[in-house]
Amino acid sequence: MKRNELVQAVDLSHRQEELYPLLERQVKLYTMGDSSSLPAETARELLRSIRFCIETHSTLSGEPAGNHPLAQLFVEGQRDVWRLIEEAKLLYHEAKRTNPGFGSIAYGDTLDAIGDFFRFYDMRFFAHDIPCSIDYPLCHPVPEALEGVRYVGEYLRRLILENRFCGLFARQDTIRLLGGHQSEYRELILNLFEPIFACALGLALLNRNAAALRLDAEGCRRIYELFRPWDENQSRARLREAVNRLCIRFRLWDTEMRAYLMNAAENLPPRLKSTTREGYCNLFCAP
Amino acid sequence: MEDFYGLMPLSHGREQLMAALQGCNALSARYGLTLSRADMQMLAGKQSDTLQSTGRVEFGCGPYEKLVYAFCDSPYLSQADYAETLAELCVLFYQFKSESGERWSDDELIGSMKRLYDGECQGSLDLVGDRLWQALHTHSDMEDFAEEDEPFEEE
Repeated sequence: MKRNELVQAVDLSHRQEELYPLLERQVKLYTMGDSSSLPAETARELLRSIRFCIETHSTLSGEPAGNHPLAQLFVEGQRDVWRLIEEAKLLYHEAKRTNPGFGSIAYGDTLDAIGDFFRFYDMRFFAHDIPCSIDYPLCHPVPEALEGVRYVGEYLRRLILENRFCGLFARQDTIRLLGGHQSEYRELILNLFEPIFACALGLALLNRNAAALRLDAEGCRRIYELFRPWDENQSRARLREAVNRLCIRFRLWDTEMRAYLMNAAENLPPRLKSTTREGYCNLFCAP
Repeated sequence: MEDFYGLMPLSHGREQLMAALQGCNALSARYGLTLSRADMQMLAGKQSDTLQSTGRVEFGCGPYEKLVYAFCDSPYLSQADYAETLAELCVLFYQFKSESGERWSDDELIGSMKRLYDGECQGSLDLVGDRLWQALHTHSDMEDFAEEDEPFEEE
């Protein structure tokens, strides 16, 4: 399955005469023949679900809808959606298993909500829907364009990467760091990977032991100096190098994890460019 | 997403509806009730307006065929107000489909409308609407409108 193409819009505007019978069939199944009419909103959602299945198949198979009959693409798309659900269930168990257990309420609630997702997700009629509330923010949010189980699967995939990274450090060190960063981190809706990653990255920038997860004000001052005067290309190169050092230090060889960490580091330059010396302290270590 | 209604083959739906109403005449004529071409046009327009105002989408021909089959033997229907009554019944039908939150199936709703119309409402559509409203808001079952079956007497 192709992961690099998260969203592949499928243009069905010229195939409406094929979409209508599909929708008609879904309406019959949905109402179980009890009603020949529906609220427009429900009919619209049924149509979105059909589109979602067709788009999912096109994206995963890598084949554009082309001239294939939409009815066939829809059936194959439903099969793909079913597979994605099974895959997402495995990811869910993995996310629970790797939960770093920092006690964040939003994190716990989100995991519970995703458990409910599998109970309430209706792949037959509302495959594009996400019948649960996902509050815990990721360092790299899943694109809003992803819907249904594709959104949830991608969210879990990213969450697991964050979990795995956070799990590389001693628990007492991460708790100390998070508490110093934001004393009410358990109650607040905050991403917990970000401060841990930033601190480890800061240590890697200074060629220090990232596993210690301890960076003082002097260290932050030195990082500040590293990025002054500001040079965009040089700064990005420094950050990439630091990520590579982290990957070597923690033996993170898989491409997904490396790419995620690289992306997380890519978020930093705008902040590093504009922030003050104190800002560097807030970013890289607990103030 | 493009306009949802763009998908609907409207002209096709209207032709089907006209054909269905034409077919209904064969049955209702036995009870002295027929629809002229103009009546059919008026009914099709009414259905389309009601769907619009109730925010619904019709995937079949609509309720007229079932309404004709259910109501044609009603003692309160006459040729003079036949088309008008059908139009009003159609409005009630879609209104209560929406109001009930899809709780009532097409057949259940039409069956209840007919029982009320012929029974306690004595041909008053306003009363039928009131009773359905009452049923909806007191969470009564549609079975409340069920006719009491006459006891079957064995000879």
